[in-house]
Amino acid sequence: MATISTAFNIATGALDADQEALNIVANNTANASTPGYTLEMPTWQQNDSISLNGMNVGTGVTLTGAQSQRSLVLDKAVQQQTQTQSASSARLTALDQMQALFSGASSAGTDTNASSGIGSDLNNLFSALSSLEGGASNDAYRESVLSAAGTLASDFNSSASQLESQRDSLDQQGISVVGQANKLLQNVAQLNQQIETTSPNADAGTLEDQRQQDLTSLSQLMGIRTATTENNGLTVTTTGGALLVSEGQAFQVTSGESNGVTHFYDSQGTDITPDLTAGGGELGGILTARDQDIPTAESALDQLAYTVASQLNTQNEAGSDLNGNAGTAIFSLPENATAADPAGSAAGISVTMTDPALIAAAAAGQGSSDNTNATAMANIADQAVVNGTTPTQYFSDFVTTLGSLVTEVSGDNTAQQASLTQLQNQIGSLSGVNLNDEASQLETLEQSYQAASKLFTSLDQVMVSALNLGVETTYS
Amino acid sequence: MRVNPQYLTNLVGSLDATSSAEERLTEELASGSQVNALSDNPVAAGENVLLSAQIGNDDSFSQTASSTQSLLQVSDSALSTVVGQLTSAISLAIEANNGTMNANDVKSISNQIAGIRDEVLSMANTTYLGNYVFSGSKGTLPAYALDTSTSPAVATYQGDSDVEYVKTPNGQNVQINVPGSQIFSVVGNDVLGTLNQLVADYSSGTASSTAVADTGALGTALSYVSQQRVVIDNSITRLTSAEDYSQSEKTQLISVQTNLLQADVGQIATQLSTAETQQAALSQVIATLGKQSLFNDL
Repeated sequence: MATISTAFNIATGALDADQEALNIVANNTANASTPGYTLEMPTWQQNDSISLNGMNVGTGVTLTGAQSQRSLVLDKAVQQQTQTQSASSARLTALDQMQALFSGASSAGTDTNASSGIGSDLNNLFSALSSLEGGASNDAYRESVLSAAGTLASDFNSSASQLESQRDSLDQQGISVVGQANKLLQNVAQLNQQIETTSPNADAGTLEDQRQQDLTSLSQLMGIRTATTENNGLTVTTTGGALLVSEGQAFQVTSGESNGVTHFYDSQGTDITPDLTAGGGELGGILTARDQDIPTAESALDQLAYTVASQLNTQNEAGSDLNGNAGTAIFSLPENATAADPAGSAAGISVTMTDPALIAAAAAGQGSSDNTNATAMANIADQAVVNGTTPTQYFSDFVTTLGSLVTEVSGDNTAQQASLTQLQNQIGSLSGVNLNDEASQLETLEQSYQAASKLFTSLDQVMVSALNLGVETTYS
Repeated sequence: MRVNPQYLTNLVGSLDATSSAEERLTEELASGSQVNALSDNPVAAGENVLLSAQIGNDDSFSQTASSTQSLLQVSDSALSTVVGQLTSAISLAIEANNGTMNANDVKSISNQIAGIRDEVLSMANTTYLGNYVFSGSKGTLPAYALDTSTSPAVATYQGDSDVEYVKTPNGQNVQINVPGSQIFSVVGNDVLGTLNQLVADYSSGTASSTAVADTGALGTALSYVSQQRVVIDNSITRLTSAEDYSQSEKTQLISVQTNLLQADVGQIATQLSTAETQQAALSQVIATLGKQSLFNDL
């Protein structure tokens, strides 16, 4: 009797285990598209055997639970690659907008189309000055010099102000990214607490899924490093080591204005902006564009605007105007701009001269038909006045450098995306729910359940035979 | 080996990439330019800035050259008139010098030479677009003022000796004016002074003793004026050839620029068609694969 009961128990246990495994399959199938869900596999365990009448008898199977198919190493690799990729992606977006400001440089034609940008403005100004050589006292030529100068100044102004407004908008984006990151940090801290309580020694299943998913989202936003602590907790820091989450506590990143842009601080009040810039994530990309790329472009434009304006001013001041008076400045530049630090020149440049007669085409002391000074001004176009190159060459170099930077970042981004996809494929092949697998599992479990039921029926027959001692009809 | 069950997502990524390639190709076709953003070809964009500047330079030189040529032609035709006038002044003087004329005729020759002097003076005071062309840099002042209160009359140069140049795109300087002081009142070849002298020589009705010498001096001055005219003619020639050069350079540069920027329509069309085929194939694959599941067969 004891052995038949044992067999009953084994069959019952198998039915229980199959049912539980079916639950796991159902759960996997249901969550096949849930972001961050990690495939769970039933853990089957053979029951301890017992000794019966000197024989070792097996006691069936138990399902000890569901095991998430997770690789923390791969998870970490994906997080880091996500940080790198989303940094270059955010930077690329900013750079794309930036290069659009100078797209005129790639259009053909030399007409007076003002939208063709600073390159053609420079060209028009110097052309107007060289036309003035052919008719130094001609009002129309003088007028066109002033109007070309005005167009150049206003294109410098608008490029500078658009760059500045891009910078402002990146600044705002940075604040909003940090806001989202702070929420995620709080989530991670809460999940830490739950995991430490419920599953200090083993994988925490769905809680762990959520925590990993939060870390991946966080990686898209900013550069982080993680370290597992005892009791399955997690410490999150910035790449520079500023503490963001420790056990159940989140330390918010705060922001404040410094030098006209937003800086970010850790819980100790330390400025972690450089750390976040280098760290990666969307925030890293935004801050790189805000603090490196845009200022570089701005300072190149400042340099060009300052040099062209101050060279022409100096040359004009050296000559005599149509009325025989000493020449005056054509352009006005911000007061605090100097050759060594021309900051603000592109934004602040303007044409102060309103009377075309004031253009000093003649050399000092010469009469109104003299064109010597006009020639000297036109010659500035061919002189290496801006950082050792001509103004046009300088602008051309600027355009090439900017374009190359965009190409480079775009190339990096493509490569990083490919590598990230590769990692995601690896994670997917380990942790993703494959419906075909689930279908086959389902089929297997169904058969296994049917077999256990069949076993039960057969055992029932055996039991009846045993009770009736071979008389079939007495008890059924 | 297990594969990533989410491979469809990757396929959709490829589909996005194809769409973005199609978008870029369409933009190139629409704009006719293969460089629509600096990053499409940074070197070409930078090169284009320089090419545009050079083309603009050639363009503006064409304008400068044509306005300067007009100026030079005005100067040249003024000098041509002066040469004609001086030739007739010399004939008149020779007639007066041969001693066969009566006093009235000699006086009338004096008057005729005075008329020629006025004509030469007015040629010396020629203007172009409101500026006196022989006044050096002082284009607002007539080159010469005549004082007839003395005998002989005196013509005073009011301009300066400033010589103007324009620069051609290849860096040559071309002279665009000759100051009046180098044509009409050069010591030893003084056109106006000699004319004034001759007017005085014949004004009494008898040719004075210096009349023959003065006639000779006018002949010398005449050939000097012709030499100065050569300077102006040379400038016209040089400007014309510089303009031709800059025009042909411009044509060449424009073709370089076109090669640099222009979209190759045939190539783009081929690429676009390839991208379309790829996209259709990908969609088909996604649609087919999406249908397959073992669950369908359970």
